[in-house]
Amino acid sequence: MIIVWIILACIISGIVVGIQWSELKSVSSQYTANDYVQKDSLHLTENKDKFLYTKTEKKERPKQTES
Amino acid sequence: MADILEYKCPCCGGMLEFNSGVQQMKCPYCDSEFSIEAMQEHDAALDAPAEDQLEWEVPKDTWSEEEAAGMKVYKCKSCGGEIVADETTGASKCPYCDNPVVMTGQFSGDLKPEFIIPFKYDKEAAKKALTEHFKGKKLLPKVFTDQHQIDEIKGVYVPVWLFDADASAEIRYKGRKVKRWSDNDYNYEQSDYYSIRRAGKMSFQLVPVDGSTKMDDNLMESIEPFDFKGAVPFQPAYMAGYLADKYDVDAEASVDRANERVRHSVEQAFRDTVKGFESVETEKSSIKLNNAKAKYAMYPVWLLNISWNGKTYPFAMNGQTGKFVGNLPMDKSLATGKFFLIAVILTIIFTVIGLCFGLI
Repeated sequence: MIIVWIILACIISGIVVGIQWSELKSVSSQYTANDYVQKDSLHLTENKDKFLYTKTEKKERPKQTES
Repeated sequence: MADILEYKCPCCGGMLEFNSGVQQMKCPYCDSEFSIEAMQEHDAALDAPAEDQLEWEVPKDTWSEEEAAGMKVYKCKSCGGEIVADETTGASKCPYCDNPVVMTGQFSGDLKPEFIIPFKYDKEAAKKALTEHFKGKKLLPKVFTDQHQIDEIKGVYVPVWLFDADASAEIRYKGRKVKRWSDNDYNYEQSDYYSIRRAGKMSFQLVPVDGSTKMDDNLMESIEPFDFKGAVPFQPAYMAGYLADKYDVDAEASVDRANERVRHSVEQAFRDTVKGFESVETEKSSIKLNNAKAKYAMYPVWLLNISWNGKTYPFAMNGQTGKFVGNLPMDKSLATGKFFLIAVILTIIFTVIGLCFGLI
């Protein structure tokens, strides 16, 4: 169990240090051109959600044995 | 010898520079101010068609033919000194008398930009922004803050191409809605699958792409956005006191980058209209773009370089909005120490909690 706590602690510590490392980086290319979208220019001419089929799965629940 | 433009103060004869604080031409010697409109008569040279500048004055045995091919020589009107610049330099300072000069041939005729966004922030603001940029960076080596050397701070007008684009898209997704429930014996999961279709249009205006190979594209994109409302019709007077280059990447070579960003924006915007599904997968995407003619503009950027530990760190500040960017070095030993310290403290805390709740 202690190994689980150590792994969890390392993960959280890695996240904290990772966040502080990412604060040092501020140069990157822009993925989108969202700052240059003409206001209210998005017009949808087709907007359809068509139901195809359904699929149901069931899994047996573990039974608690009476001692 | 190529033509250069210099703006002399009518009061004292000193060289005028564009002052970002008052947004006018200002003499740094006698503090006289002049409007940009007053400088218009200096720009009459721009109406003449651009001339080929093929008169090389290259000392023999000094430059190779290859090196000389990319250089131009100008003569400073103030001191007569020779200014050697590469073929794209549009504005510079005389290395002898430090007077600002604008090379008219680089911005005349077909090469004339349509717009320019004047500098709103000055050099002092750039230095202050650099200091602010260091604050709060917990993994920044302390010696970097104490010992760094600013190699140079340059106010540069970067040539950019501005693209408008109309996008029409048809995208098909497969969506999944999930219902979960249980009874005494089983856990159930019902997945309903949908075919989702979205089609429509979106428009984009003034998507900028850096038109200079000298300016790092990632650095230029990092300081976006620029507010085009601050743009004015181009006049060379705005460039006095700053550096500038004409474009060496033309619109045809730049349009692909603009369209790539536009495509990603369209995909994101359409995807955001698909709501209520636990998972969505894109099955087919068709995006068509129509580009209008590109506009050519000059955007203001403050560039700073810092040398530390044998490496150069470039920084840039948006000369209009003040946004400051630049990657900083990491103190590796501090980062490693922090990692282990936090991990050890958390392990102790979790162990104590585990003992208290009987989990160990």
